[in-house]
Amino acid sequence: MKTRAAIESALVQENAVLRARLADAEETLRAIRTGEADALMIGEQVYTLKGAETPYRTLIETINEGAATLSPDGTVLYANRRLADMLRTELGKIIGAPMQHFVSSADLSDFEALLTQGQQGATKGLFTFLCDDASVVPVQLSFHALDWQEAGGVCAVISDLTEQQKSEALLRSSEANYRTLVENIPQRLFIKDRNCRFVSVNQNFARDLNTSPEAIVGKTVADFFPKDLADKYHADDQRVMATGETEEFEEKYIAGNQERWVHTVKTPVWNDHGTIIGLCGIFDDITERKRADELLHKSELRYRELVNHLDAGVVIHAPDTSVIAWNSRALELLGLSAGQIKGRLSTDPGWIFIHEDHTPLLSQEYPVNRIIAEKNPIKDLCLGIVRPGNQDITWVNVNGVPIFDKQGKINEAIVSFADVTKRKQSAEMVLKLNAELEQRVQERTAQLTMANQELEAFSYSVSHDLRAPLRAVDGFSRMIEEDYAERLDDEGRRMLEVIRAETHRMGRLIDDLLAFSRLGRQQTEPEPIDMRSLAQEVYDELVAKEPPDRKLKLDLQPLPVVEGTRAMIRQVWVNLIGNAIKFTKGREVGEIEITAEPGEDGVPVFRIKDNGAGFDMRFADKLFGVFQRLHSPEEFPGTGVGLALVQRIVHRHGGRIWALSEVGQGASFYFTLPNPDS
Amino acid sequence: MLEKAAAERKTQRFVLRLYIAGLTPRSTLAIRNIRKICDEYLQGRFDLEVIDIYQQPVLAEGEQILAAPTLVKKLPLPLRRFIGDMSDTERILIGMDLQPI
Repeated sequence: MKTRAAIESALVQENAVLRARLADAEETLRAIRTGEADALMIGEQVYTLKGAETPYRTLIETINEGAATLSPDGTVLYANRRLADMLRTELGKIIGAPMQHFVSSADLSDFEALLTQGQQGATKGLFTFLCDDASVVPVQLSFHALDWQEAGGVCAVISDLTEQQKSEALLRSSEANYRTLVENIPQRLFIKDRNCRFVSVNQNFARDLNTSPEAIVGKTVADFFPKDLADKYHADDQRVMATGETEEFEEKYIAGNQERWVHTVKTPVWNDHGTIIGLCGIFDDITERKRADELLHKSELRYRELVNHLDAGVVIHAPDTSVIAWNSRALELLGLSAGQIKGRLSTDPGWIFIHEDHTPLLSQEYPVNRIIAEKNPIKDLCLGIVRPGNQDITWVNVNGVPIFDKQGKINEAIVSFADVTKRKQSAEMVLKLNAELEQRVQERTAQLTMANQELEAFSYSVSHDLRAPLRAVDGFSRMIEEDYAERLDDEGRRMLEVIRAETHRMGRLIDDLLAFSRLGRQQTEPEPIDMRSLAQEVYDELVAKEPPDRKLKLDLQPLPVVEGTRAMIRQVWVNLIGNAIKFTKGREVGEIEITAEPGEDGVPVFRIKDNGAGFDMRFADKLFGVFQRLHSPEEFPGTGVGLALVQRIVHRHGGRIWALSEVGQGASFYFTLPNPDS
Repeated sequence: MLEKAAAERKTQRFVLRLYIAGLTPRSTLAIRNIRKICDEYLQGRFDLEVIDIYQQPVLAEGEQILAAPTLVKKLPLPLRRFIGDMSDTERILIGMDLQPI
């Protein structure tokens, strides 16, 4: 049996618990009564004592999605304004209508299926809605079972996909555009991931490697290129992705099994968080350009070396005459440094040039100015350069050309000049020597002339002075012959004859000598001479002097007209024809032939041929000497001066005279009288 | 003994559950008031859970909630319950033994 205390304490405790529970219950009732609690939970149902719909309603009305509740058969029990806007229909026409009304016929069965599914849980689908104005709206329907008032049905969220679809289309077309670009540019494109594996490549790249883009994706450069190239590419990739810096290279490449040069740009690819997730690259084949560049470089080097090693100075001027290029020889010849010549204009007072006659060149005569003004090349212009601080003149032979651009305007003027100082000095030396020589020659000539004159005067006076006593001897011997002939015996008379003959001979000798010496003092009076008529005239004259029983035949061919002093040429014919007549005395018929043939340089060679005694060719050189006779006076009379005189006359006319003969076969005498005009 | 109890109270962690009924006026008020009380008097030593009886009816049933809003003090013991919009701060504080001394 419990003690009283225990029972008491238990009762007190129970009391407290009951009191607490009562307090709670009273508290609850109080709250309900005062309205401090505004919702009751009975079973699982909540009953609100004050409406709390407004915030939810506002929410549903303002969201950007269409919202509706549908009964199990699809009738719209509620729709928000957005749905009305989306369907371009009045709200009143939507609520109460079956949603099927707005579903395109193609989608109807799917809609029914979705509706059924939606009542069991949650489901989504894509549909095309038809508006009352016949326009279409692509939508996403999201159904959720609505367990309310035991009526079933669904809550529907309707999302307008129009914008999204537009964006997608735009994106796709934009993508298509990019793809077109990527596939059609001549460059090769690629994208690699962080591990340097190809993610995307364009057709051109794939073609280089004789494969398709698909075969490249997922692989690395090591699968397509030799080790050294692949390593280089890989290292570049790594570096670009590590530093985040875009890089450009000119590098080797292999396309279609050929080694090529390419210009590559590699740039890192970032994601939205700023992390580098890969690399993209674009490269261009520059092999041809590089080859052309190399050839150009070689050519340029060649020409540069050529110009630098030329013995001539070369200076290139811009159209404004400023110097834009030069070689080292130019600096030497001009006495300038590179700094002084660079950019120098032709107006610079530092240029000092002189003509060959040492007069200074005027500005417009400077080679560069002439080339630019005349637009023509300059050839072989000789001028002197007066170098700064230098007395000596550097003589140069200048050549220059203008260089035109495609429009025909002058782009550059190139002037080259070779050092001819030594040559010029030699030439000047030669001139000087010549002058000296000329001087000496003149002096000598003067001396000789004087000597000649003295000699001629002497010959003349001697001949003249000799005549007087000769005349006396001749006169007196004639007188003796006339007056004292009967007092002499035959021998005496014979001796007197001899004296007379010899006197006459002496007279003829003196005459000939006189004539010979006179020739030197005679002036030449050139006139055209008809040689044929002259020769005929002389022949007739001489034949008249011969005894009538002398048989002579002349064959005179046409002879040209020549320039000469008539009297002198006459003398030539007199002597030559005279000789021919003389030396054919022994023949039955003396035959004389006179012809003319064109000789060297068209100069006529006259020939007089006889069938006379002839002479020994061994003594031919003596023929024309003074007093040289190849026959005795008994054989043929003559002073021996005749041919010397003829030679002198022929030489005076600038001609030559010679003779050919055979003893007993006659002789041919040739002479030329050059036409002074030829 | 009293001092020790007082000191203990100052460091104890409170676990509270507020049951509301969606957006009813009292519910929204209750949320505001309880938050204010917790921030002022229970700084950093409370765990407050707000449960909507619409959204979680089973939980509410389990706790035997009859009316909303109801605040249940789960810790520290003893279990206490308050119904209303929690605007009577003093009553709440007394009920939770947080009466400022």
